[in-house]
Amino acid sequence: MSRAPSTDLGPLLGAEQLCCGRRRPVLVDVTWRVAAGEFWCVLGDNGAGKSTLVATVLGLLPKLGGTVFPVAGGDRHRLGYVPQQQRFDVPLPITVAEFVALGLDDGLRRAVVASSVHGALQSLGIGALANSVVQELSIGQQRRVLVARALARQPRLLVLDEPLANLDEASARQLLGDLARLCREDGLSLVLVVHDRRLAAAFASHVVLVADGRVRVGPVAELLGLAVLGGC
Amino acid sequence: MLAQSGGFWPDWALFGDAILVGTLLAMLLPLGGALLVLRQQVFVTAAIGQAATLGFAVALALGLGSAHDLGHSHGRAGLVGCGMAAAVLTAIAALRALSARQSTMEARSAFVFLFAGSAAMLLLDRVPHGPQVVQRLFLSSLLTVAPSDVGIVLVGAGLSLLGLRWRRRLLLWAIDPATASAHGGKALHYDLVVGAWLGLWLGYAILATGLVFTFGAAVLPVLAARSWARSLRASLLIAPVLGGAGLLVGFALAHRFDLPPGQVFVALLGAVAAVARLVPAR
Repeated sequence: MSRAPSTDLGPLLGAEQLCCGRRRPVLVDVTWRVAAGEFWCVLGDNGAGKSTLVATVLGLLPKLGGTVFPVAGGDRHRLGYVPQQQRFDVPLPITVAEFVALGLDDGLRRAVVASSVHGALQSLGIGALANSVVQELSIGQQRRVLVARALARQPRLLVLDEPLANLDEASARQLLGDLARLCREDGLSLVLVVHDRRLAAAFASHVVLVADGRVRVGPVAELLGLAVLGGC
Repeated sequence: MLAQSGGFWPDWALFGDAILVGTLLAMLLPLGGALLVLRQQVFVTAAIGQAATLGFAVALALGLGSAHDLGHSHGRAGLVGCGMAAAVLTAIAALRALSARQSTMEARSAFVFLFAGSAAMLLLDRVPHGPQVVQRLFLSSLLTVAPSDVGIVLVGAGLSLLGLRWRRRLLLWAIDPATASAHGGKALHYDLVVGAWLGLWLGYAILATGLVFTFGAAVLPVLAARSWARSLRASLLIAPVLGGAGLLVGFALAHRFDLPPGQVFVALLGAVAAVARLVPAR
């Protein structure tokens, strides 16, 4: 799949002196810029505020202060998003191709939809599942279908909120490997909310560390240290 | 009940409008029902119905119309408007509750259903023919359909089909509101537009045909279709076909055995849904 190259130098996602939280401030003075082609992991313990931070910079939660940069350079059509909670027990049967097509905008030609869906499924190695019913897939396959739905939009920026939840390490590494390849080959910018520092160190170029109400951002080697890198 | 006029098929001159309106509603209501099934808010349909009944009852109690007006969808504007407004507000409130609080609000739907139903009956207890009005709105005869209803349903159907242009974003909103918002859709806008559409359709359908028919037509074809379909597209095609076919067969059976057609339709579709559950396609 090819993506239109970034035409501006502004951040695709981020904030300046951001204060965020649900009702009360959880994180303050957050400055973070995601540039084209960068692979970011947002790390932190449960309840640290990772998802709140990402939801706020995406505009899904109101900010409590500071500045949020326009998402994907102001063009949300070029944003792919995988939410933290996704119901796969959809009460009506839905095929993988149908599910992935829901990520696309209305008004597209049928051939464009088919080609986008096919390309997204192929890029994650699940093309053979196109006509399978989503509810009957394994958790790992369902996660890939979710990512494919985001990729079908041919995004410049892909934001995934805990996409590795309930995946075994082999499946998680395989998915992260595919995402890292898309980042390298297509210039896709990635933001992943994850728990596992070792996986982040193995695949990401930059990290956001969220702990005790503080946020640190920077290159992975600088923030996670060589000890973690060496352990992978 | 249908007066027997001989033969299996009812006399078109007498029942043509009822059959036409019933068939169109039975084919269109499952589309709204599918959205509620996808959002796991099925019982909201019944709550909207009872809220509309309470709206009509309040209007009657305030003297905005008579029980006779309520027999027709072209009754007094104040009377119809109260019922429709109650239906629309309930639909929007239910959709907003899911978007804002991540709750299907089934308990509140049950409360609205029970409270509105009882309050409507109490309000109209001393109004001439009031209790019969509430009873008629709850039960579903289909036989009070007026010729003007045909035009109303056709216009509504045309407008609803226009909405299919945005089917992908509507389905995404129903299945995954967080991603729909991330893509730039405002949850409030979806809730207002879909809530108004659902409220108007369901409020109108209850006025024209009754609660049991409306609830049954919105939900039962979808529940049957999901057992026999292997895709969303198939579900959304099978459900209206089942609804339309069920209405025609139900009307014929009601005519043959001199039974109320609304109840025959709902019982028939209920049986179809049960069979579909027992004998799924896969």
